[in-house]
Amino acid sequence: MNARTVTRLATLVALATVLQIAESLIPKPLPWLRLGLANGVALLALVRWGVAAAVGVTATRVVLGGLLLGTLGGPAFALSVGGSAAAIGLMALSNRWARPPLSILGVSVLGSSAHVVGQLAVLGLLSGTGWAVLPLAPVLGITAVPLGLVTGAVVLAVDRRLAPWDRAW
Amino acid sequence: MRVLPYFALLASVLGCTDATDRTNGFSRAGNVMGTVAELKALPRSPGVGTRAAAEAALDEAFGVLERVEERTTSYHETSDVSRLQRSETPFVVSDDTDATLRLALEVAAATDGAFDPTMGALMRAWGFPEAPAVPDSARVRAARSRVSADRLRPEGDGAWIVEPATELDLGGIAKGWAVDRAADLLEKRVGPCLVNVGGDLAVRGSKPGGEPWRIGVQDPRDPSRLFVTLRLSGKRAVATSGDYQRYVEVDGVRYHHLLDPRTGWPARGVNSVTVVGPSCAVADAWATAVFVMGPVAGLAALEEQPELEGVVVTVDESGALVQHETPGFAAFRQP
Amino acid sequence: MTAALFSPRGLWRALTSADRALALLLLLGFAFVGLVPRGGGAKVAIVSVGRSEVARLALTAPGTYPIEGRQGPVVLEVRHGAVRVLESSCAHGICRAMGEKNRAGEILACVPNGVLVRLEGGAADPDAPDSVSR
Repeated sequence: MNARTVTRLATLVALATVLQIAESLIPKPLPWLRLGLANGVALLALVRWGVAAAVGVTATRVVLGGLLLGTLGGPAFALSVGGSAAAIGLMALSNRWARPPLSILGVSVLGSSAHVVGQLAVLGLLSGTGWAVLPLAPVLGITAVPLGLVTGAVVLAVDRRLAPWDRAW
Repeated sequence: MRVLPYFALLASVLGCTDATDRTNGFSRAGNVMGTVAELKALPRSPGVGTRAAAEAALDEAFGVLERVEERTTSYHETSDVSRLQRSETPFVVSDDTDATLRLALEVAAATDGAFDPTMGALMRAWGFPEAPAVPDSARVRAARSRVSADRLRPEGDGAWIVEPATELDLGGIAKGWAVDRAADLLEKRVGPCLVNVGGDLAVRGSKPGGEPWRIGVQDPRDPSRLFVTLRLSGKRAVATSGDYQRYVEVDGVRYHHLLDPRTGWPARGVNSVTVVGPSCAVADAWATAVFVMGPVAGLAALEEQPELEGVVVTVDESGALVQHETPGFAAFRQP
Repeated sequence: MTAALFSPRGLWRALTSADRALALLLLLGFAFVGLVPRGGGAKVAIVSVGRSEVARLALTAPGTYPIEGRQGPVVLEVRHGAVRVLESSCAHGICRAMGEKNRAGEILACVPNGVLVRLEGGAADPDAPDSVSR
């Protein structure tokens, strides 16, 4: 990796980490469950620089965020990993195969939805209660869709703005 | 990775979202009166603000338990009871203490002294509750001479006088009184409730759907088992006195804390007594009295009390439990 | 142009028809999940005939349980943590066709016989006391 790539990725990681931390400050009625705002940064990395960059940024961000928030290795961390992994996975796949019909917004929505499902799956699995987590799906999922749209819109806007500077970046 | 946080997370999360919680109630447990207290309250018509109101009521109910303890305990110098004992002139006590003392004398009279609120001297001679040990006969006799319900007299208007060298012990009735007051408060402020302090409990109302409260009674020989389950609703209380609650064992003989005021020694022949009635204070005192009186006399005295039912449990030679109950007790048994 | 993205209309225009369909699908999907009977495995089946409760069957105790319905017997079978109507004296047998139920909140009913079976995630031991006097 050259210096430009490193800088670029580091900036993204920093941005994503900040978002994750900021998000943890938002009061939620349900502890440990996250909105997944940082996935927006991963999406940006995905569409501009590919899957490897997106995965790298996400993995680093998840660990860094866990360290900084002190949740590393705990339940919140597991949820973060599960949700982000699912989000990145689905976004990467849909970006590659479904982008013509879908736009970045659609991919983002898929990402935020996968994030919810991923978190619930981890929760159900690790607490050993399986399907009991289902009641949570509606509330989280229904908010995830508009959230994904908004995040996607931000990513789209940033992507367009960055276009002229691609070579420098 | 530890699993407990996941349960806690799931519990907290589902707690927020599950609106069809069957019992839909609130509970609180804590330490008071030297034992564990457990309070449950079921809001009558849950809505917004129910949680806050219920929690506040539970806090207050706990406060009631603590308040009664503070006033009626013999172990604090500043309690009503201690100050009354020390006073050489009539001493005005708080309403809790006044009511408890009056009730105590009533039961003492009805049981011919089998229940006695002036047992303090004897209890101390035996070292109850902290360090029980078998005293010699002379000490027992000396202490017994200082025990008699006559030594406690009401002077009217909340004032009482106690003869010198008399020590009050309201342990066998004050807990029940506290339970009654806490249950009253919870019923008024929240709804149907259950208050259990160290095994003396009271219920009010019933559970959703008119279902009665299910109250188990501990097997005197095996704390992990119940020998009967009762179904109670409305204003009902249950109190149990057992030879397994506080005791010291010497040479294979158990010396428990339910002393016979007339002999100064632990009452023999009974393993546990459970009394059911509208008031926990009364049930509490009668459970002690019936234990002291024994299965025959005790049960007979209990049968004469229209509002009380109960069961006396003894153990026969083969180790099996024998239950002697009042005729009306069967109505409370879970079939 | 970027700013235009952040008004509701701008956002809407930026969506492709596929995006819109997807969003709608997901929203409906999540909402639907909320309608699935809640709770995990049930532990007890509460049987009533008319308005009276006649039995509580622990789903951990397999066996056949005959219930006296209004028109005749209805036999319930508990197995694998679920309950179903094995036999019924009713004419149409709709209750038998309801199959096995094992989740809290689910219901089996034989209307002609007035038999209703409600599943609850209650304590496996329906006789567990609320408190103990000791």
